[in-house]
Amino acid sequence: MSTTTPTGQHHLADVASYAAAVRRELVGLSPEQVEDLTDGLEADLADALADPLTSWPGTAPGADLTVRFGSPGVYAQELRAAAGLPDAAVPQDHHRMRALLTAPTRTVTSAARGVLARLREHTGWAPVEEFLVALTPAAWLLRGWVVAGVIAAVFGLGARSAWMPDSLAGWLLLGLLCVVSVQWGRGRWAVGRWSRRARVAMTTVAVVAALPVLAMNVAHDGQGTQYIYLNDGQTASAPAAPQDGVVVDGMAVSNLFAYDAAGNPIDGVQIFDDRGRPDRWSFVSAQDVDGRQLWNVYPLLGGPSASFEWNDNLGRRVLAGGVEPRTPPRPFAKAPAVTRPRSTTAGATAGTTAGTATGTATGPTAGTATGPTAAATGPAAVAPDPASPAPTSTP
Amino acid sequence: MDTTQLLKGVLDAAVLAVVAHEDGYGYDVVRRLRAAGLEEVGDASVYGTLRRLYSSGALTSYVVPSDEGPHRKYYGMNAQGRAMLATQRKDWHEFAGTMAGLLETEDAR
Repeated sequence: MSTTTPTGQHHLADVASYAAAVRRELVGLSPEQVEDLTDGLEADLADALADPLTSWPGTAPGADLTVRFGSPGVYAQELRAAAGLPDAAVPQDHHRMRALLTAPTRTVTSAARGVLARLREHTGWAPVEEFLVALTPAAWLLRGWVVAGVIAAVFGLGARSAWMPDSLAGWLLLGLLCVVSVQWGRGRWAVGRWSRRARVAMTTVAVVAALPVLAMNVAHDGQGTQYIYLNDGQTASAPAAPQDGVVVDGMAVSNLFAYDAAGNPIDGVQIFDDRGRPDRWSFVSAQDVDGRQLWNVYPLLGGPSASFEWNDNLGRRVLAGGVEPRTPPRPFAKAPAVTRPRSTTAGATAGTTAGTATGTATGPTAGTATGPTAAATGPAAVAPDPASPAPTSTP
Repeated sequence: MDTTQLLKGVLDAAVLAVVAHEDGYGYDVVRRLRAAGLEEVGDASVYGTLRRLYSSGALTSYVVPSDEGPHRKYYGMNAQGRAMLATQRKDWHEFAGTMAGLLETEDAR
């Protein structure tokens, strides 16, 4: 056999492409019929080319096989005629309606078959196809998963995380559909017309619903967590937090109690966040008389992040030597004064404050600051002295 | 006379006869038919005929893998094929006899 000669490889490549062309010409036959009709064709073509008894023209390596065998179309026609199969493109009147309905499917299928046949002509395609074929069991599982997701969504079994069910019914459904899908994929449980129809329906649903299900799950996850930005520049995912207000450990803070540098409670402290500052700051803690770090002394002192350096002994970043901690620039030089309702029970703390809000008026709008953009007139609310980094207070 | 037209009617019998002699794969059958004198026989016609005879149950089939290249599909006889061949052989002899008689008569005149 000349397939062992150096020219044999040329023959094989030509033979494979000719056989692929013949298969492409066998339009209108089922894949099984085509396979049945052309099984072993490559060997027959190669042997015909290599036959020393026949001295056909054009059997030199690399020569066009159509010189020897005729065009693939004629060859395919002869093959199918001899096999007693109907000619291509014979419209069957009694299936006209069905043909009309299935036309798009057939167009897509034949286009896909054409692309596949063309890909198969390239020698580099074979390992790729092998790899993809090895992945088919994963596709079976995926089919079961997608259909389970659709059914769960329709019947309201939707889980909090839609990727996996979180109820017994959901798990049973997923398991059942995966087993059915894999068994079908393996060619089991697929007897009878209805089973075939169910299989086609399930595959269609899976293909159509795959993208929506994926998109839904991604969107679902996006609602579940959000990303927050920490002071030292790390990002971390956190559970969904209230959208507005002061939050500690994921819970909204309903009230704030402030104390001055001397440890005295302050009534009417106004607190602004750090929006509007051009620079990002890192902060250092205040310390109480025992040297414990206190992080609840506001405003926090610190410096630009660039002036911090890593300290191996402490295991954290500290302010570089020589840089004095200071307060970030205040967002407002002066805040508008507020008036507060004088509560009868507030006296216990109000009496001891060093500097209190001066408002005394009562009314329905009392207790709400009018916002920093309002005319900043009137007595300013007193804030603790920001220049005292080491308060002696013990909260 | 165009022998390819004649061949179409008797290709089944010819293929069955070759396979009945010895199992063979596609091109092997083509080569033996040509060696026997049917030079005009087309490769694809023989392969198609083999597939059809196999589908109708007159032939058995088995695949032999090859170390060097693509696998070969062999065909062999079974009881149904042998019965079919016997019928066709009988039909052919009757037909050939008739034709021979007709043609000789014309020729002798």
